[in-house]
Amino acid sequence: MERVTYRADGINILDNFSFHIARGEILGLQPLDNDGLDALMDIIQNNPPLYFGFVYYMENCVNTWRGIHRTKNRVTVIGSESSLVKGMDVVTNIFVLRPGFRQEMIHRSLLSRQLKPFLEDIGVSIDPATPVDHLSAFERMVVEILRAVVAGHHLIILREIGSVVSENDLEQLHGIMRHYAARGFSFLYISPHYEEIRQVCTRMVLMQGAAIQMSRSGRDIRQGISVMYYREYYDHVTRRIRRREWMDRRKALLEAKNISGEYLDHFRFSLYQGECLIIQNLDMAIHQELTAILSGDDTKKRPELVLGGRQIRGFGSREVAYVREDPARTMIFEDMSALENICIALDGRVPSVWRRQGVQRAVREEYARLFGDDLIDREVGALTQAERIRLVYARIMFQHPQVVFLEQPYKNADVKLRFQIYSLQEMLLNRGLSIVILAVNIADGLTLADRLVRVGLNNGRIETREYLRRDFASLPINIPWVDVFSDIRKDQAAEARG
Amino acid sequence: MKDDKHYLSRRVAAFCLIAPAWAVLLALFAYLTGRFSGRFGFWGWALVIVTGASLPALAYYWIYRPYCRCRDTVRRFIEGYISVHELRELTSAVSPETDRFIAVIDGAMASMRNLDLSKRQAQYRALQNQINPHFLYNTLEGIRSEALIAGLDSLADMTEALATFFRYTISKVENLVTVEEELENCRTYFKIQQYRFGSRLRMRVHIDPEDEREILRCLIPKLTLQPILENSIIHGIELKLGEGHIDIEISRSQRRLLISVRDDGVGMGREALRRLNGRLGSKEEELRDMTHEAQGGIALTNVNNRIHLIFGEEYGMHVYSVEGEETTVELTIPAMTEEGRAAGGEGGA
Repeated sequence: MERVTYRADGINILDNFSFHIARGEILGLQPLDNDGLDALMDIIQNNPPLYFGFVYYMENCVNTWRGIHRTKNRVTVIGSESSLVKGMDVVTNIFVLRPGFRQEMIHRSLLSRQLKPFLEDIGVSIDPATPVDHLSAFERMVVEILRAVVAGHHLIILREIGSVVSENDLEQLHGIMRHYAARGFSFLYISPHYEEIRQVCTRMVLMQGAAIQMSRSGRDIRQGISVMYYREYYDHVTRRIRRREWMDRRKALLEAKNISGEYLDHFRFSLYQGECLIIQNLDMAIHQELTAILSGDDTKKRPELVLGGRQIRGFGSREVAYVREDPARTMIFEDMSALENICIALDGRVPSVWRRQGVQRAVREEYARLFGDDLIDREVGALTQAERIRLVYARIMFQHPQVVFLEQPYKNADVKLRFQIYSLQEMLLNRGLSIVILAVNIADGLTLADRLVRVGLNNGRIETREYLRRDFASLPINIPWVDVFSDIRKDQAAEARG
Repeated sequence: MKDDKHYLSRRVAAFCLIAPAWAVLLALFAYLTGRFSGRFGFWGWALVIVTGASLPALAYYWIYRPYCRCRDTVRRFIEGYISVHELRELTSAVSPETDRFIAVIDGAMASMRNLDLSKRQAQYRALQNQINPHFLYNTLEGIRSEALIAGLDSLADMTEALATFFRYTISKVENLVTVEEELENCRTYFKIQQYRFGSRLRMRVHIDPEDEREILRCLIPKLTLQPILENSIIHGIELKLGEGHIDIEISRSQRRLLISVRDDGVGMGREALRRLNGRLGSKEEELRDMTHEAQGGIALTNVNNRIHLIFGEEYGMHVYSVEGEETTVELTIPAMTEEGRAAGGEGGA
């Protein structure tokens, strides 16, 4: 893309934007905010009318401000949601549904045989006859990559996939990317986490305010990016880590026992008063099973929850709250006002209580101070994603639980939003609440955590490993913020020597 | 100017004639139908509806849409995205007179451009004559000999580097040089600067090893990299405390050469960067170049304008920077070797 200016409703979404990906390159794009990112994706894929500039694909000019043919570019975007056709099997999705497929008769066995060398090439075993609905997130992404390769899509965009596949799967996926990059396919790897980008990318760019701020390549990519780009967040987080007192093992507040399913076998964990515990699932299947059981979605497998020595009824009890993944979408009542969305947590959700004007007025006064008038007085439909998340946390706070479960809280959040979520979680901890973060990708949670439990599968058996805060520096380097713990450990060692 | 140009004024005039003529024909048809058959009938109504619909459609596709395209292009010109010359290349214009008016302005600007070029050339010649290159090289050689006799090796090396630098910038008259020659000149310039900065200044050149030989043979405009390097040192690293690094990276695709010059100097703020990139992409700069004397940041604009003039609008320069951190200047130039140029003109390898 050369000097592209893209305008919508008279506003420049991208202004004088230049950007290129070379053949066989794995380019990392770290967005510090989401400004202009959707427009960039649209321009790369769909060739929309440009206000000015030129777009090239495979060295040919495919779009200019003068306006040439408006066909789509052969680009595949793989994100957290599947783009495969549900109800159909793997082989149909890869071969039959591509635009160039002309055969009248579909020879499944022949197509399956054709798929075999592709799968062998990348060392993945997937049954070609499996319906795509039954695939794991990792397998689904592999199928999407293969579909792009077979269709001759030379640019594959992977957008924020780190939060839907586990660490081990991500590593394997990176291997597949390297394999196809060596064969001339290019990848644009979009992730908000630098640690993820540096594992696989040969060059990276940092995007902020709808503009590329900097570009790193070769060995420079390993040196890391400066904290300058998210100075405020970095300072806040490091200050907190240094300030946070070491939590002694006190009496357990919550005991979760007998969590069993297809993979989990009598899994248990404890949570201490005021503690932030992360349960990181290294396998997506375990994560899905654990969240289904803990959230109550899987009604057949109820966990045994003991809070302060007495057994509770999971989330039927107001002492435990559960924040689902993407709460801005899944936990807001669209037909209620913002204030009602908070008040619904009041006293067993009895409408005659929380709908009372006097109650609502009192709540408004208290929460406007904490979350701002702009949030409380507005219609839910007019709220931004960040405001909706604030609203959910306001409701949780109003419920006064002792324990809050948070499912992948940082998923698909840009730096600004991550900072907000971090601050909200900090607010919960400061009020004495205990937090359990259930995640595949730890993201920024590590800096808040007092303890980390990593759960993985080894030869079909569940394996868990516990890390206390003092051990965080020894975690794999690809986990975000591990560097900070290493630096603090070095500083402490230097202080002890001095 | 293209021969297949459409003028909106003529279309409007034609439409003004067609529309009443249609109306007259329609009235005549209605009159004759009424006179001979006594009723208007299906075909009569059909004709009225078709005519009634076709006239606005004609006005929309024949006049309004070309007008919108014309208006949008003029808007782009006003905002500095395109030049007067590109404005002339429109397939539809308001009228022959406005088209001629634009042509006159373009001609005037071309004259100003030529005048400016001649002025600069004259200044350059005058400077060259004043300098008298041979006298300068002989003098520098003399200084070098004296320095060697006196045992001042560093002074001798510095003088030699200065002579080499001047030989390249003053005496080498080719417009396009190889990447290898340009890089050699950068190394010479860097060597001179290192006498000033010492070990505070470091430079690294990285060329994609797969295409190194091909890249070094590619042609680029003379004095493309050195002004960028100079900019990085003067505006980036000189203002910074401590060590400064400059990385020059060159890679190529089938048709393009990608050069990036990165320094870890003081960088620039977002507003300054936006203005600079705006100037690099703007055609207003052409006009400003001719009407104003050189101000700050002109070296990059100059290099960019030369790339545009030689290779076209789709090539050029873009700057990335973060205040207090770094600045990267990225250049895109067609990958073209001497043999490729001889075989296919300016087209490329």
